[in-house]
Amino acid sequence: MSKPFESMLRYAARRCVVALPTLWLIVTVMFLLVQMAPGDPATFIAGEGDISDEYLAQVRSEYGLDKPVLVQYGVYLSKVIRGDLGYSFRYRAPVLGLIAERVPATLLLMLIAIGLFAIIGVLLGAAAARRQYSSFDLGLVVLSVCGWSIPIFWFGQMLLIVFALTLRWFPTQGMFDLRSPSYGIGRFIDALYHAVLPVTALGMRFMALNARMMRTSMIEALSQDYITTARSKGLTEAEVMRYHAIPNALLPVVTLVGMNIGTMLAGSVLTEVVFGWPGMGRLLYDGIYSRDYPLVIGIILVMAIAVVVCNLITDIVYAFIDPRIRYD
Amino acid sequence: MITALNLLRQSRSAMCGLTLVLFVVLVGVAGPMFLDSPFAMTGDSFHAPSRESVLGTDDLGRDMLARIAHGARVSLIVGVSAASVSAVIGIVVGSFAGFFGGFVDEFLIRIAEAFQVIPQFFLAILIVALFGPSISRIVLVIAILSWPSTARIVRAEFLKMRNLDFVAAARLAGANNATLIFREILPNTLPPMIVNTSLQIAGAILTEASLSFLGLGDPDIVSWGQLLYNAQPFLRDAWWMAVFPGLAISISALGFNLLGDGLNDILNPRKRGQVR
Repeated sequence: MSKPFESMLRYAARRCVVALPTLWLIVTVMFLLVQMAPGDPATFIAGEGDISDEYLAQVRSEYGLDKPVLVQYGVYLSKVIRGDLGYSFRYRAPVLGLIAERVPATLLLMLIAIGLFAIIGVLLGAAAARRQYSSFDLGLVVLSVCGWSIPIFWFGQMLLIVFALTLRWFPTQGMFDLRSPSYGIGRFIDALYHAVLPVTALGMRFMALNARMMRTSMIEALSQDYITTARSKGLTEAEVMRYHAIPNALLPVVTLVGMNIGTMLAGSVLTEVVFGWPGMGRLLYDGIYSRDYPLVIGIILVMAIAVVVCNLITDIVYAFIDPRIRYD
Repeated sequence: MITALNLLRQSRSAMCGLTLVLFVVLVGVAGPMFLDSPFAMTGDSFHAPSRESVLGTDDLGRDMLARIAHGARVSLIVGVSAASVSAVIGIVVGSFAGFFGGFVDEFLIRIAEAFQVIPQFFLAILIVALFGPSISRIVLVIAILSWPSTARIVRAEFLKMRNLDFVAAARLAGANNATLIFREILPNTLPPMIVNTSLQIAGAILTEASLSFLGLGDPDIVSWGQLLYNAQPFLRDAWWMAVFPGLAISISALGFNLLGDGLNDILNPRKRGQVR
């Protein structure tokens, strides 16, 4: 193994270790919030509604609610570490299992939105930077600030009214059509067809953000000396872009994508509510609606951890692609 | 006032933003004076936009225009107060960290980082879901979650300025730390602070709308996100219930974002377009 690669691995390992206190902090903050919230903590663990006294008593003893706060904290921490996020009384199932069922739908939405719209945004931003102050550039600047200001869920509602309810090009709700094949590639294509509008709604804001960042960072890159050098040694304009300008301009965009995973996940929650998409966001919404507190707390915890892990991955990826970062 | 306007004239985006913001302020201030109560059932339900009700009526026959005008008040109040509270916390933390440096700085910046790594929107959902929705709680939650960016900006400015000659001169003239922080250095951090506050107002308006859309808004008031929450089951029958409140959110957020961008171009001409 070469020396730089080894030091990169060490860097990655160290980043992972540094992320552990963050995860601990999140779990602790959630525990403290539940402790501080008004009302009986047993209802937050059991949920509200048609709950028997025996079940409440069982919850109290299982979570040590009659014991000192520190003991309760210990019980909670050890349960979370073992993946026990409690039991949803409404669905009559463990919370972790309920969440796991919904992860693929959310992941599908997010991956397409991030992959497709980040690339479109980057290309638009790069194209605009090459023609700075042209009408194309101006149009993109205006569009991106609009895209950044429009609420995702309203944009989704508008897409739904125009393309699903009025033009009837796309389905209005859900992920699958009952009449479509329930297995194999046909099912996947059906899901993609249902995903067109939600992905567009979710990706719009992301595209605007990426286009804006790429434009700024590309303008910066194009003004650097190495671009002049590349041009003067006789490279074509396309080569200058592909090998010199774009790779350098992309670095801040990678950080931006990573930093915005949380925003994207929040956007996914809102989009799923609009389109009845059966992901984690829709589950969270149902949980809030029916005051299913263990479910709500569990989903928030999982999403918070997911965001921290994604940020960690971005940091490591960034270190791998940016030769200027030192690992020691 | 005149000089401020002349300054704003330098940037087209600042002028556009200011116009949009003033329009929303006008609707929020004047609208409720002339219109019915947002809870009054004035006509048939699901009445499409017409001469009697310009923006239509909702499922209970309440006038959408009156509801949107009231929502403007709520959104502006939430946006401005959340951004102000966040600015106050950010200024105190940022200036102390930047001015004293060393251990104080290390400690405060770690706290700010801890707030930044926790995904804010989800924490806001959790707090409102556990503690119950009320407008002041929503303002506080947004402020508590957004102060670290202000603190970072203020801290960076303080680090830049605390060793400059004018600070040393003031110190020699006998100024104590409080005077140095609040009278000498802080006023110089104003330009980036103004830009940041404008952008934070836009963010706070969007966050409040998102929370209300998830059914976590204050039930005793009318807010734009709540109007969209109410519109969701009726998208097929009453498009106007969704179109106009969303337009109102977009116009306000766009106004404050454009204003912030424009101010940034004017106040830091060398960093054009690098706010986010």
